[in-house]
Amino acid sequence: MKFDDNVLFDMENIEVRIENKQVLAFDHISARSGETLAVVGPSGSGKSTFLKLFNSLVAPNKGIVRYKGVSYPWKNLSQLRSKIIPVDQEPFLGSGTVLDALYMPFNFNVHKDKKFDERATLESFKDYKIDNITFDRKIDTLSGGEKQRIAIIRAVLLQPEVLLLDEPTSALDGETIDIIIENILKKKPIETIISVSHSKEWTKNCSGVIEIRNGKIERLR
Amino acid sequence: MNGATDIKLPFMLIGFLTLAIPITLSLIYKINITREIAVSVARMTVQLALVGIVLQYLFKWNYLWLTSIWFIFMIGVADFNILKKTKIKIKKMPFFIFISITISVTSILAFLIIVVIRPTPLYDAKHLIPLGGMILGNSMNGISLALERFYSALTKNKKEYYSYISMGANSDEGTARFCKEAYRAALIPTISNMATLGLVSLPGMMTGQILGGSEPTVAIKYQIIIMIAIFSSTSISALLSLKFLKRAIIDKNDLITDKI
Repeated sequence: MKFDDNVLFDMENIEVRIENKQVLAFDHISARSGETLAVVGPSGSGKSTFLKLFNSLVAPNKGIVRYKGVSYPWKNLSQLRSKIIPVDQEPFLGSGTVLDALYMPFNFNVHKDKKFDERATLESFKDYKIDNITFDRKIDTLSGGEKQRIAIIRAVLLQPEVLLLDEPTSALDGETIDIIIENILKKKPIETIISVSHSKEWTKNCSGVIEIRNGKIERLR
Repeated sequence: MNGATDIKLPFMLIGFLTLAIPITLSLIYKINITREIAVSVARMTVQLALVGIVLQYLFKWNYLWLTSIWFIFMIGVADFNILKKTKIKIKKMPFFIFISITISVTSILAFLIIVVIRPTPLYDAKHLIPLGGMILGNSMNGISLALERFYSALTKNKKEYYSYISMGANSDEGTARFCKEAYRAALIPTISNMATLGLVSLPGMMTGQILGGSEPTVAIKYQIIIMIAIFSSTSISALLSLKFLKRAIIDKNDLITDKI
């Protein structure tokens, strides 16, 4: 393996089996710091599973996953996970208010030194064009696209080193996709972004593309 | 002290005749529970008859080691009951339930006997067995409720758990909501029971003591202190068993094991 200071993630000889079925198997893949990667491929090809390797939500049956040269499993998992934050396709925001959902992770010990910045949050609401939503709105009253954006804002507020986005645009219309591309891929509030997407518009704006097909992985650019 | 009036055996059998009412009703209305009634009445009668004989000897001999063996047997039965009720299939379950019950019941019972009641001798089986049995039975129900609730909440809300974990929560923080819910569920029956005690029916232990010739004031003191002991033991055993279950179903990567 050639030595590269900028390599953030690097995975070797990975095999993932779920219920005794092979979901992923590949020799090597790496991601550098500062990249915005799109993971593409047909549905059911293991893209979401691949994304979960990055924050240890899936433990590979074989192989090594390294983050900044240190291999998993890490001793302090919550420390690791606080730096690599995912946003799910249908994010869980609870059943309280918008403020409850945004504030929730700040209760965790690992984020105890971070302050929830109300003004910065309201600014983001403007950037993401959801400034009609007030902090006391009930989560249940929000649309899928609004929930998606609140989950992204929450993840960014935690200032991780890496953002993992699973289908960030699937619930959104074209205009909203542009808003997220602008705020995430162009402004890059988080240095490294790894995403799974079906949207051509999204992929076009990423700096690199990884394709998964039949459990095999290839770096396209 | 004048004990309760003994029931003569023939009259005892006559008492069974009242069962004719529910059995006839179940036949008329085709409720189909005649079999269940027969089985459970038979079980109750045989079990209690056997226990009556055993207790007679345990009280007569009054050896601490013998009483302890009886206790271990009772804890074993409670353990088995919890496993049957919760239907959680994890290898270490019987073991950690046993430990949870033993720690909580023994410590609370010891405190009750040694510090509060102070019978002579301290290991008096007549005190240890009935009081311990009541604490044990209630702790058993508490553990069942706690484990069942925690398990079903966590398995139904995996997504919620993973959302906490993936934002940096450790497994304790990730399961906190489910733990609290389960712990509350374990305590609520005892709490609401305490609040209405004596208003509707006299609790069993008090009734027994009064029939046995104790002054109601003595019986009440026992009832109050046993309720507090039950509550404390239930809370300890529920919490311990929850901790154990959490450890058993969450792996070193803080993931919920696929065994469940």
